[in-house]
Amino acid sequence: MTVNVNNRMADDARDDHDELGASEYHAHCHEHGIPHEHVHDGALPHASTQHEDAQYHHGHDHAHDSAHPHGYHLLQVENLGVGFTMYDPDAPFFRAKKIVKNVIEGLSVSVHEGEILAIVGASGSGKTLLADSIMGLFEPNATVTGTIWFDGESQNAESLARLRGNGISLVPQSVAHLDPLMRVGVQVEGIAKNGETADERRAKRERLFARYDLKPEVAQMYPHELSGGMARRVLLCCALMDEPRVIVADEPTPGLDLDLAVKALADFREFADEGNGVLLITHDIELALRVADRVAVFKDGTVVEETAVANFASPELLRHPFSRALWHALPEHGFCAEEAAAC
Amino acid sequence: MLEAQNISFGYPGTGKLLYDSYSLTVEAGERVELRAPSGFGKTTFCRILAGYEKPLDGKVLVDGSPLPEKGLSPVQLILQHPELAVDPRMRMRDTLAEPVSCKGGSLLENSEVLRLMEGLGIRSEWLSRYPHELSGGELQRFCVARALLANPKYLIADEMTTMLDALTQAQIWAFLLEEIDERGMGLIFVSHSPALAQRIATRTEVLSR
Repeated sequence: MTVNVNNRMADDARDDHDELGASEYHAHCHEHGIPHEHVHDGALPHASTQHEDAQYHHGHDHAHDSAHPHGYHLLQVENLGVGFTMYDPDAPFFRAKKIVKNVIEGLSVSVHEGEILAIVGASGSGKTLLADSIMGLFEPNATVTGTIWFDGESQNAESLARLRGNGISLVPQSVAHLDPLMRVGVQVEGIAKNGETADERRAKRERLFARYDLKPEVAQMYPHELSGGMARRVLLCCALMDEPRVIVADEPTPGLDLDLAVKALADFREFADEGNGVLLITHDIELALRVADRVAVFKDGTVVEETAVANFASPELLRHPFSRALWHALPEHGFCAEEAAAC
Repeated sequence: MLEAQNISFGYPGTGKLLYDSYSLTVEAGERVELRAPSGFGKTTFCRILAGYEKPLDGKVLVDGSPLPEKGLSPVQLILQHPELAVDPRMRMRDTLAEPVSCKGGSLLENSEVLRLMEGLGIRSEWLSRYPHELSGGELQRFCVARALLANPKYLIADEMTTMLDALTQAQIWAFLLEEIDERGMGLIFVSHSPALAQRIATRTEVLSR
């Protein structure tokens, strides 16, 4: 596994910058989709850039309240690639050579402070691999390339592993991720770390439970005793115990009925409104449109379009044919099954 | 006509009845949405209709006769989680062949199989894979094809496309609706999406005690 911390594109841009004036440089970066604020600290404070609703700007549209308070995105993934080393499935069994199969290529997304970015796409398109890459979880046979910035700092595999639970937290899909033989309370509290005592963590867990309407006796229950709605709040409490800035939520809603799903997403909304970021990975575009600020449309291992939710009001505002096909496929619109369609 | 007559059911040990003498009739050619709040027992009712569960009281009749004990059922159920509906240790080829071998034929000589594979977008390279090597959407296509190969008179779709993205959902439903129309089958379905239900249903039934 390799993680290229400083990607080549950024270095190229730095070289070019010496020959370009400041304004030309800005334009140059726009053209090449390079996030200039990361390339040269203080060269062009990005906070001074005005963002209007749904404005198109370095590779993505912005929502109404997308802001860059310190001149950078809270979480930015640039040019991510994930490949797996495997034996050639087409070759005869004993003569099969090792090949690298690229599953994700050239993927870029960014999460601003105070916003929910939904990643929508077909099942099997590699959405969960993106979550794994951000969490610093790599399969032994995976090759991961690209650049990830968190809170303005470029990360590598070691630092991403350190950030796991200490800045970036995961909300998994179901209670199956909890230990079935452990009571919920101690499980959420986890071990005492970062100088916190066990008592402090218990107090914190009790505050979180109170805030999310979980009764004190829930702490004594086992995971199988939780209802679907309780389970999702418990999983959220697990993530919030370590005061993250970014939550990565991997398909948090299947199996919940519409009311519960909307409530689940309202909790994420509240978290984001406190100035944090949420990366919501889902295949349910109807739900994503209800709660997210921006939507990144995922297809065949890359993001084809990153756009404000407002642009889903009408297909003409969407840039990529696949996003338009998704729009037409929604039951409340055309319910149209053709990929290249305008019915 | 699919009839559920005075169905009563409760899981053993709970001491509670999910439904007490509930009846439902669906004619061929109808598309009925089954609606009830979360946790009411929609999935259980679907399982009763397809013969997976025996009701404590009451009976399920297809055109006046009870569901067969053996062989292909005229009522086929498609589950929400396709990965739970297939044998994890069987290649997809064998899974798809289940209803065909029941009738004593082989898979790829069957023109019906080839037609369904094409209509549902099942690629032939998937046939040699195991379920964990396919995505949810790809597996669900197999489950739909398998259900249709059994030549059912009634199809029950329990949150069939909840796990799928909008485009795959539209593709599977478009094919299925066409197939249902052509064969004159009846459909009973459960969906959490009101927009989807409105598009498909010809009638809505509220499940009640």
